[in-house]
Amino acid sequence: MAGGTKAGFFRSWPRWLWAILTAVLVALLTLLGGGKSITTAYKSFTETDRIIEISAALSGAAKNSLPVTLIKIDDETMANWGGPPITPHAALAELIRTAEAGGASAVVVDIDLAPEDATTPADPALAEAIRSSALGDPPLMFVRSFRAGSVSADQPERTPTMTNSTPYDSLFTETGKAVWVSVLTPLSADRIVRRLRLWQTLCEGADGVTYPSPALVAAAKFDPEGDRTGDLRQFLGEQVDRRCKRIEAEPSVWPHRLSSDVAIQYMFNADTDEASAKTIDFRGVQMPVFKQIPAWALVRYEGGKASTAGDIHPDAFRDRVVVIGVTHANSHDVYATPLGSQPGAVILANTIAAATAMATMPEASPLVEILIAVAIFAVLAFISYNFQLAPSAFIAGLITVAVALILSRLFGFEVAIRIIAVTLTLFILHKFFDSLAGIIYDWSHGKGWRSMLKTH
Amino acid sequence: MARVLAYLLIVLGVLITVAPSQAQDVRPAGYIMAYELKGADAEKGTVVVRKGVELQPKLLMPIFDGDSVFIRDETSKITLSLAREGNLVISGKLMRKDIAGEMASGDDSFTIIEQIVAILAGRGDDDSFSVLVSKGAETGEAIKVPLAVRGRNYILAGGEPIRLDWTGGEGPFSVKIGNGKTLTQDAREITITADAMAASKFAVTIIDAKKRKLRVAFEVKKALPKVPDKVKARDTNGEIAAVWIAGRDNGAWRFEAVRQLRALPQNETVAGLIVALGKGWLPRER
Repeated sequence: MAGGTKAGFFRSWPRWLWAILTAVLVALLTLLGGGKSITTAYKSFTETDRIIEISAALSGAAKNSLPVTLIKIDDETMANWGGPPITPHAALAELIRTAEAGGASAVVVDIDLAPEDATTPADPALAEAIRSSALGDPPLMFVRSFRAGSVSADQPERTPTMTNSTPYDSLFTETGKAVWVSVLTPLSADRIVRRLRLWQTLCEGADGVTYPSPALVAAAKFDPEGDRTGDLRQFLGEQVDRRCKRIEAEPSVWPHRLSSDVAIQYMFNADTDEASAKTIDFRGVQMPVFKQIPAWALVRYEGGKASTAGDIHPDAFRDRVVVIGVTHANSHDVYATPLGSQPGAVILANTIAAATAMATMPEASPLVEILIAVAIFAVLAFISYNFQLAPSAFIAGLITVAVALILSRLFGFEVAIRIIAVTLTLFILHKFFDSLAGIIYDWSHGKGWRSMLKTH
Repeated sequence: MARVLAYLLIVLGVLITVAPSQAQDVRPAGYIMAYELKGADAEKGTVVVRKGVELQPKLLMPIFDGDSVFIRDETSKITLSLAREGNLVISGKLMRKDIAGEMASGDDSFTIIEQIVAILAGRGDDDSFSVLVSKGAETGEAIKVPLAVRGRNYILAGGEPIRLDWTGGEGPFSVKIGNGKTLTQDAREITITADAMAASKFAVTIIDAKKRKLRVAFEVKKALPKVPDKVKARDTNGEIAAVWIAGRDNGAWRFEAVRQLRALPQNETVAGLIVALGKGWLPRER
């Protein structure tokens, strides 16, 4: 017996040598710091947001993306403008005029116009910029700020219940040159911004108002099948009927959504500039999906007066949606996102750039999610049965990344990751019970404890 | 087996079709960011040559490979933002710039691979993951110093006292600076005096009523790092306080820190540093 074992050991010495060499190599790599790198890479790969990042890098721009330019009121701008406590409305007026003169297809202002002191009057320059706006369709969009409160005893989460009034409210109604929009981004449990509320309804008795997000307005206006602005108007009216009047309304023609929350398809972050942004084909022209420019380059502000820094090139913003927003540190308007920390204005720019894809993103029911997970699991199980561990792990990894990529574009990142997580859990459980069944079978057929050893 | 491989190729084919197209129009080399024409330039009004034609400058006017940007009067000033060279001012002795090259884009294969490698290698400059937070983040009650990072927070020696603010937690708070006495207070702020900063390293420990603990480690540095020459200091009206705080490994400089931990007097070097940080410059000297 002993002689036979010894002979067996020597017969299989190449395998033992290979095992020893592998162990030495791994030990060397670990000692040289390779272990830390591998751990970091593994940790990065297993984090949900890293998968989202990889998916975003691989898949490029969302379908029918819109080109967006952010005019950012950054720290340098505030320093150039003499360090005012808030964005001067006169400078904002000049920025709006500049954006329009540069050929912007739409302008969204992501600056809270609600004053701290309710008696503060409207700034004459901004009022004039609104009155004289040449943007009729869509009109100038201003992001509205809300007061939060609970809407029911069952819903402890604080939600928007009232708008903060501004000195420009009557001007909007009177001129019809500007509209309020809402940019609400519900936080995930880990306080990362992954979703946008496409519309927000506020009720007062049976009356109410539904504020669209700029993304929804842009998706309607620039829908590849034609202008959907009329459909959107009808849709917003229906939301008031449903939520405030509590009456059933006919299903809308567009958009086909029941849930207002949708996953944001991030395509860029605060560090992205024209040279690193994805290129998209918009109306037959190749252009970067995102650009950003500091406001100080366009407008000067001194002694309470704003003036243009020069003539704007007529094509500077041609066919682009312009977002005017703050990014300076004092705004404290910075949020964690899957692509790193981003100012709210950059998140808003992302939502507008991917507006069409987000507004038309299908909503996956739990049944659909389970069916997809089971289908992917079946593919992975099939591969693991037919291939050795190394190739099966490689192929399964490729398939998982590809599926995560496709699903995230179809249903959004959160749904995709949920499906992948369920699939992988199913697969691990399957492998565990498969192995357990094999052990029980071998044990019951006389192998005893050796049934737990790996066979070569 | 061949069938399985065929299916895999189909999956990869779908993946490739989702990838962005490579086709592009001619991209600019940069833009005119600012201009100020004097003397002969103001009279003529043209400063760009493109295919034999002189053009007037406009804000955000794209400039392309083969263009020339020039001034006739050396007091005129044109600021260009070029993809390859960054910001370039044509003024004084530099009176003509021949433009070459074009702006890259983020959708070539190399960039995509580079991005994925960077993601897998882990990102070190993300504020959201390096900001110091105590336990209790899941309920939103954590003690948080929005600008402090894990590891050392650098601070400039010889400055005035620093005010450290925090959010969250439940008072009263027990606060200890270095080896000093433990203070009990309800306020979410404390002043770090020059005495504490006499040590080269010290920490501030904050413990709230529910025993949630946050330790902020500081290291006192003797001098600010060098500011790039091309960055000029701007008048900040004294608003910028110059506390020098940054993460050790990620070099992420935080304006919140600068704003909220106010202390140092107005200083051109400091203001220049702030502007440099705003432009994305990272310190290399420790």
